Amino acid sequence: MVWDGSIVFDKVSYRFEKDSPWIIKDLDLAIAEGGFFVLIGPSGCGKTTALNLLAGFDKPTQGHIHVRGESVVRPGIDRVVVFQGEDSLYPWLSAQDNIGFGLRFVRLPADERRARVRDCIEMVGLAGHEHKYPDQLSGGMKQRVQLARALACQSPILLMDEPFGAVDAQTRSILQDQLARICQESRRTIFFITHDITEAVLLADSVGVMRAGPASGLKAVIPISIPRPRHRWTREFGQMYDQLHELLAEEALKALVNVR
Amino acid sequence: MRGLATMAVEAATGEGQGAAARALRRVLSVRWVLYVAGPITMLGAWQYASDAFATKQLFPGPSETFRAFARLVASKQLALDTLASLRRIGLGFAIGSISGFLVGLTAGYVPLVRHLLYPYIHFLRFISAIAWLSMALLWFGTGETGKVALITYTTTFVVMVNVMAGVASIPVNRLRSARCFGATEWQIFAQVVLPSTLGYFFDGARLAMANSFATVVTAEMLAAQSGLGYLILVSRQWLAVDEIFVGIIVLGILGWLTDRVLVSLTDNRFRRHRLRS
Repeated sequence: MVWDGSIVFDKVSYRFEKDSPWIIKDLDLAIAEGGFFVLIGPSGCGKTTALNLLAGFDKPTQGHIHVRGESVVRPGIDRVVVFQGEDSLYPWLSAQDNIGFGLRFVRLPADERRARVRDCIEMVGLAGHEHKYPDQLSGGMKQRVQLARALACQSPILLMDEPFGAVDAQTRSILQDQLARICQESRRTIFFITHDITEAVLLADSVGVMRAGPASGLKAVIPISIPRPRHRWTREFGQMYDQLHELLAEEALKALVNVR
Repeated sequence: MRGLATMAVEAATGEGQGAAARALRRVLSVRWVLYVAGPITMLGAWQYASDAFATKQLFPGPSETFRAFARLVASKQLALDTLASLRRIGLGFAIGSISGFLVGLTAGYVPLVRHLLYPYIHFLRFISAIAWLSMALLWFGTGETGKVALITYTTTFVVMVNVMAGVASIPVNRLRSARCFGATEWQIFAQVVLPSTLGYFFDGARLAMANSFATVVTAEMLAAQSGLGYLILVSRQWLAVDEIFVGIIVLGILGWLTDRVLVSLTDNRFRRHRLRS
């Protein structure tokens, strides 16, 4: 296994309990520093499990995960997560306070904290809405708050679990473009999960396709070398889409057949 | 001329077109009219029932009750008894709420504590405070301590169960994201778990307040020399049903008032804490 990557999964396997079926088995993966890695796969193949292990919410049953050479033992501010859906926002805090929440436990001078929060609000396009509470924001805005909160931490690695899945198609398209732009401006390592192949081709440096579960692993890792900024549905875009779609469709069919 | 009933129905369902229906609709649309309509109707029915009842003394009407009320106010008896009951409720409720909140939070969040307390919680919460009354008398005597202890007991359990349900309903991603940001478990407890459960705490407090009233009245009937329960007891012994009615109505109004105070203090301020965002 190659060890020079920023994120390394080394023969990682996970199951809930002894004797329950393996969710992922012998997953090997290396992501270089600064890379945008997208993990796609059929439903139930363990993508979220892989993210939870990388985030440190769960421990691998077998194998190790290394981030910049060190073993992952617990969640940390170097690997902040953007969750699917809105239930990780704090409803009693305004958008601004939610975004600043990530900085509460870090020793930072107050004005620098304020400046970072301000910058992130502008970056995700929420200026003017920062004093609203989550229940006053639309789904897309809530996801932007989560994104801003993660960006404010300036963590070298960002973990994103289908962040735009619960949002309508138009907002999703806008958020994808915003994310692509933000990532171009700041070189972080990103671990991004999605079902949407278009999203993968638009954002990724490389795409990992997982096999259908149980006991799934990586079927293939496909590099995407289209120069940025990328535009949907150019010829190269379409070719990559087709390639990924073929790989994914095989697994999706198997997942349907395997329905537990 | 269509029947009055037809017009009333049309007004209520919003379909009548005539001037009378429109006027009735406008009156009914003012909310406090509906709030007041019930009690006014009841007063009328009460007066009628009391007049129709064979023995006047056993079922006094609103006017007799009001005269009894005036008597009790003049003799300062009502004020003394009301204050006595409120003092007991206030103290027991305050202690019980705080302890219920703290125990509920800890038991809800720390599995070890929850498992240790499990038998006590789910056994004791079915044993009403009044069942403990004799114990309270023996241990604490006939003074205030025993009654306050009973109210504390019932308040603690109601608040505790509500707060535990609140902790259990915290979305796991809220806790996970706090862990990502490097919060220690204590910081998560104070800055995520506590605010998330405040809404449930206040719901529990409101329920506990009703329990407290019930407990204090029963305790006063059985083992006290003052308070609204005692007043009702003594009135029964003198067959002064009008004074019993006064006691009951004052209890209801007091309960309603304390509930309003609780709600106004907490509902708007803490409404957001209850949401799942």
